[in-house]
Amino acid sequence: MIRLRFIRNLIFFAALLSNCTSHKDDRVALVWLDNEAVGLSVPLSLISSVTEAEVFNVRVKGQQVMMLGDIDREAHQLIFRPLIPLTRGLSYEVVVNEKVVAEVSVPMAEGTSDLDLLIYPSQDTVPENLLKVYLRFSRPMEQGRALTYITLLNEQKDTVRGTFLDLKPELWNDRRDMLTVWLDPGRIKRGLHPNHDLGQPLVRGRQYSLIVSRYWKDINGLPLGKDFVKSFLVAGRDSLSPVPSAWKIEPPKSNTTDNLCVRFHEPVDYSLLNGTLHVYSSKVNSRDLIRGVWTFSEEETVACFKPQSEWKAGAYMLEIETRLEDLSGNNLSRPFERDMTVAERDVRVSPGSVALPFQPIPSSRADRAGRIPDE
Amino acid sequence: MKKILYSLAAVLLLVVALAFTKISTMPDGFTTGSPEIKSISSLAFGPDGILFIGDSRNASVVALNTKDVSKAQVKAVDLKNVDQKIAATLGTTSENIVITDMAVNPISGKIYFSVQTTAGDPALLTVDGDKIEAVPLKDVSYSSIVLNSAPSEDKKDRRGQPLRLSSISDLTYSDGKVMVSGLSNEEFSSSFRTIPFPFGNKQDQSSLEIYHAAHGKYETTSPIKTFTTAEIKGKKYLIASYTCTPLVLFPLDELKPGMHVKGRTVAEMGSGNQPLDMITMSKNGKSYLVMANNNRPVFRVNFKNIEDFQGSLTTPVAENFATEGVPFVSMPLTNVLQLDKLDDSRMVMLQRRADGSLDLWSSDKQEWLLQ
Repeated sequence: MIRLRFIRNLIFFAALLSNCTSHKDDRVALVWLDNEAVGLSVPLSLISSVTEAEVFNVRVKGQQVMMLGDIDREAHQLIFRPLIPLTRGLSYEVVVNEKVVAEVSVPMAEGTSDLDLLIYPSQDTVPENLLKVYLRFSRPMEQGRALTYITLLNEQKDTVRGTFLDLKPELWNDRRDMLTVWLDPGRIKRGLHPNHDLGQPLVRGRQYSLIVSRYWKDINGLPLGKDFVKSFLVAGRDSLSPVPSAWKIEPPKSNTTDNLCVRFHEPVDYSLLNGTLHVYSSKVNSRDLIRGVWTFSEEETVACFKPQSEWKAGAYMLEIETRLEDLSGNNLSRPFERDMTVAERDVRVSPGSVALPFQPIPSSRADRAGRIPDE
Repeated sequence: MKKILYSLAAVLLLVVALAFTKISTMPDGFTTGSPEIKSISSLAFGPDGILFIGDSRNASVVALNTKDVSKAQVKAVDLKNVDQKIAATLGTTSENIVITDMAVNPISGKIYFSVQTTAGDPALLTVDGDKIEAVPLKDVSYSSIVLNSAPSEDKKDRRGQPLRLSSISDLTYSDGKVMVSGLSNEEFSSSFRTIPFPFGNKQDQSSLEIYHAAHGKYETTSPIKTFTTAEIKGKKYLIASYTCTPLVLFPLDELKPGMHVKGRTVAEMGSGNQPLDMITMSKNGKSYLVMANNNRPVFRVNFKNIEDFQGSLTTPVAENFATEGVPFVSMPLTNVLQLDKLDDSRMVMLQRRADGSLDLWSSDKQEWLLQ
């Protein structure tokens, strides 16, 4: 048997030895770590000889194939660690000399499901060339079969097939609580076969419902418990890059920590908003990043920044990375697709970043006087 | 006395020579330890049994010295329900795992599989005949490179920051370089990196935006789904298939850091389809590009036809579900999920059969597939 163990298990090895829940009696027990059954503790009393310890195996109940894993010998027990954590709901057999000497079941996750899900874009009207949908869960989710849990229905409640791109691997964030789903780009791009043959995935003027199934489980095996539904109407095509110079900046007052807000006049990509906006104090030969927190509202059409420290009188700038996209994949420096038969518009933003200058509004003494009691 | 001194010097020289010989067998930049691998989305073999492991969650590539370098008679493979067998060896059931990639060690002919559980745990296994084994990842010789190092403010190139990679869509090794195509979970864009191997202290990596022209009218960017390299008329090319189905050629010598490279679309592979895997096979003096798809049979393209096709797709689409450009043959193989070259004359594939079983088999008795 090839014995393999991932570094993660090594890291937690010491913790495992001290924290593992194992019975002191002669029963086989599960070894838990971070809410996962990562091994089996088998008392030596179940195994009558050293020779038998060498032919000690574990298998899924009902299977003939023995599992791969490591076996560590301790004072009174052998610890079997499989390559991956044991699966909730399955039973395992400990086999010595081809005889089943013990059986243990891994319980299903306990508790009720309080999973929540937000679906972006949050507007109920989307362009017909909508490119991405984000599913933001309140907990890390099971991955690998996402599209089996996502259904698009038309107005007649018929399932619309072939809308989403079946990507492997799926596009999860690092915490595995947000999934990016692309609408088939071959159908969105004009001039390509899929677009010509099957048409746009979403049809202008039609109403759709995106349904995320109640059966989708989190990584502990707890299902969503209820279907999440987002209904939306499809509007016209958006083929233009957002124009930052047309955005409205609502500057804060100086000597306050009031919000700086920027209105985009159209919804922008939810995920890209988190990380493409930066505020700097603007000096002659230098600039300092202002620390604070961004919040997004009004269906991703407004972004507001609350600084950690008060705004000072003087020049600031809002820097926007040009990779920020609208709902149709048009970023600030290039549209999703460029019609090469049409001349480019005069004002083209170079890739990199765009800076919008602003100055906090001077606070009057009266304002400050009125603010003091609240502080 | 002199004789003794000469003898001692000779022995010393021999010891030093042996020591250096030993050192030279350890590839540059390799260390012994246990690489932290959070996910395995792509596999590719390099020279001397080096397996490149694409770890999307860590945004890194690990070069693992498998030491699997014994030349062996490559056996035929025919393993039914391989997903169930792999699941059982992992202690779970097939609905809880996804086979993310398959790669054949060109020296030993052993088949390597990467598996990911639905909970996100990775595993690396080999299949040899009907025997499934784990690939050791503890106390092994390895080297790794992070793909996602955040660029500093002053290192932005003229196209802005390199794409934030969230997923490795494909990985290959060619002529001393590891090539990685990536997908972002944010930007809809193409990321393609060329990394010299052995990995050096300095990361000489490229971040390329690749555009392709659709029918000469619209220029769009798109992520690469799968790719391979090939020599066409004495020139090395990257052959990439996109998420939106075109097959595009790029001269490898034109792929430079920060460059905007326009590829030549040589074929469209049909609607409602996703390219899955691409390999190059040669038989009876003919070379073929063989391509597995999620919603089409396996395609076979004769490289001669690619050589002869000097145009780019610029004409309007003629008929529904038609394909155009370089002619290709649909092979009688459907639902092939993974495809690799077992040896010069045989392919190995993971195929979902009509009865639902997922089988691993080699094309031993189907030589006509490449005729």
